[in-house]
Amino acid sequence: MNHPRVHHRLDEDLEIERDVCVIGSGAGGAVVAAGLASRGLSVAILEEGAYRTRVDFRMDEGEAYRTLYQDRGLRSTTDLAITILQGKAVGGSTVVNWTTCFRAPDAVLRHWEREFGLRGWTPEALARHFEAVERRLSIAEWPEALANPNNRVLLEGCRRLGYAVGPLRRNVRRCENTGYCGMGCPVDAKQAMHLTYVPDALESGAELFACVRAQRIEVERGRAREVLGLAVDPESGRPTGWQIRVRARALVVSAGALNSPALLLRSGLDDGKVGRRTFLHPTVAMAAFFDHPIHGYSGAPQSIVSHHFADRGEERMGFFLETPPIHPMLAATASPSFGAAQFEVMSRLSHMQALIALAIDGFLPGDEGGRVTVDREGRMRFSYPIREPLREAFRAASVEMARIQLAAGAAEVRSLHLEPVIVQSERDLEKLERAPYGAHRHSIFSAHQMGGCPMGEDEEVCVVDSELRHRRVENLYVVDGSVFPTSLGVNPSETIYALAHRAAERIAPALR
Amino acid sequence: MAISRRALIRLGVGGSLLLLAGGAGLAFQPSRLRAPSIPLRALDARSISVLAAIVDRLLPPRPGFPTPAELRIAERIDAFLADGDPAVAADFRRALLLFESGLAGLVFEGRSAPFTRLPPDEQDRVLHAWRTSAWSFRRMVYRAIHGLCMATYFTCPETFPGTGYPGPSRLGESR
Repeated sequence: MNHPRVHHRLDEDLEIERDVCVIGSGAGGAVVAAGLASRGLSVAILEEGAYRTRVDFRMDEGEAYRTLYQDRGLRSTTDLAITILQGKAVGGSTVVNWTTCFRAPDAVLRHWEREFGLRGWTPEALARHFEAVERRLSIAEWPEALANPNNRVLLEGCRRLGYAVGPLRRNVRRCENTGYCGMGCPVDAKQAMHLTYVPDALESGAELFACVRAQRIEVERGRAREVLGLAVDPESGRPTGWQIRVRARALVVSAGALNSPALLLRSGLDDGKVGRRTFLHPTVAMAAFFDHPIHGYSGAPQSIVSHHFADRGEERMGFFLETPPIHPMLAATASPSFGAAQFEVMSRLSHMQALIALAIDGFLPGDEGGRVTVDREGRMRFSYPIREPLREAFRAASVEMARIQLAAGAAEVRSLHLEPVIVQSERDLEKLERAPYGAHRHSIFSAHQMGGCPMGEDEEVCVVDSELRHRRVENLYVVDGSVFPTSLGVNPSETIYALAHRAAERIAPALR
Repeated sequence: MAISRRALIRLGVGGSLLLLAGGAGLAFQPSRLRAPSIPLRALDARSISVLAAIVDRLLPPRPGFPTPAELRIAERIDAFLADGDPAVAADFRRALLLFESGLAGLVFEGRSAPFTRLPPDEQDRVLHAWRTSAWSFRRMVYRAIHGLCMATYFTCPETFPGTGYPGPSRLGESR
């Protein structure tokens, strides 16, 4: 990406002054930066990741996770129980997500209004923001006829069981069905931020500093004065020794859930609320083997969804069902066997199908999710206790996934327990009921990090107000998925685009 | 598949005791060392020998698949660790020494020999014991080592024919 206002790496110390400094260039940062720059404000964007484009995307899992994901693909909870997939690049997680788009469910917005005093976040008020980002990002329903065999199992299994199921929407243009969304789209079909709102921001005059980690925000007398950024090596992530100081009239933190609260904590903005209420959509998976090829590595990774179990009543955690792409590294690391048993699994990769169940955390009474803290060196740490309601959801979800796979014709279903449970018929489902669930009992993932800086008017809980303004620092805003007061119950990217679109509209007038 | 920064030493008294046992246990009997094929950058001679022994059992010879030694999996992991956070590499080294420890082995599995000196079927038994341990700490260590080994091996294109994975599409050649 050659652009006069893109700085790929710092090779000297810099001090600059702008109207706004946006920290992060993902779903939140890119959209808010473009919106602010288009309104005539001078904007500097700091991004920890490198500016990589399709020529850099080699469709190589090892390289992709090392270069495009947080912690070189090793991010996890501190007890290693939950693997966290989170992007790190210009464009953030949008570069590596699986393109699934949903508007925030009406019921979730109503819950936020009722429980957290959130104002102005009705479906009606948000509609034009959703429409704007849907137009810009070509968000549209992916035709059911184009669902790959992996997704078709979810569709057919649910239909045979009478479960609600249907196609979903994706942010793609001229998608060639390569199946490599998670490694960076090799044909620029995915309308990720590095192709859309980041260039929009640059065209409107914004300046981008890639490979710069925001280390600390300096606050004086209730106002954010400047942000200190450390230049980092794009491969190792280690500081190079150069730094940048950006003085700005307003700071927008859009580093994503986990990183945004960590930055506030490093900056001394700990009021006992920051980092709490962090949610993950904790995810369990089930592998199935079919007699016919599935080729789960090919085609749109996600095109079918079931929210049949999203609402399981007031006492049980809901979950929704989707599919993951099945490339060898993800499959091999998720399957905990070794020796001949592992080769048996991997030899059948082309016939492997997988479903994932994403638990909808943050809604049950007392469910406060996980907590972000920082260690003495300022590094992010994240703990997420797995309590009984979540274990129950994992159990129920595992049984339902196996049932769906069997209904779709699976010859064998295999759990990702450390001692895998093998299911070949409905009769075997009770083995899944009896199996243990929880930390280090089976593989658990998260690709949806949310919360940590919740928004709303409840001062006991909320870090930012309904306008995403920090409650104690008047010119500091948080604009990303960290402001969700609960999880979302759907893939979060589109809601983050829309909230950032709204935020630009609200922040700009205050700076004129 | 992850092993996070300093996570292995944050698990309280039990983990700390086991770490101590790992260190002390090395004195029982020396490890069987293997000479790495390239200069080491993150691991030392003992830990990479343990890693190579573990990888050999996680991924034993199988028709249609290359061996971990042929792909230099242990050396690749050393390079991966060297390019990242040194604290992660240090944690991983400690985890390997736990596996190796004769004292820890005596406590948990009734064996005093280091992992590298066990016959293959005994090594499999140790791996199985860590994977299915009642103690979450041991299962965590198993998953961390297993994840990194599997990720490194199955991203090597030489393994693709055995899995039926077509590998990167030809799109890459025309861009």
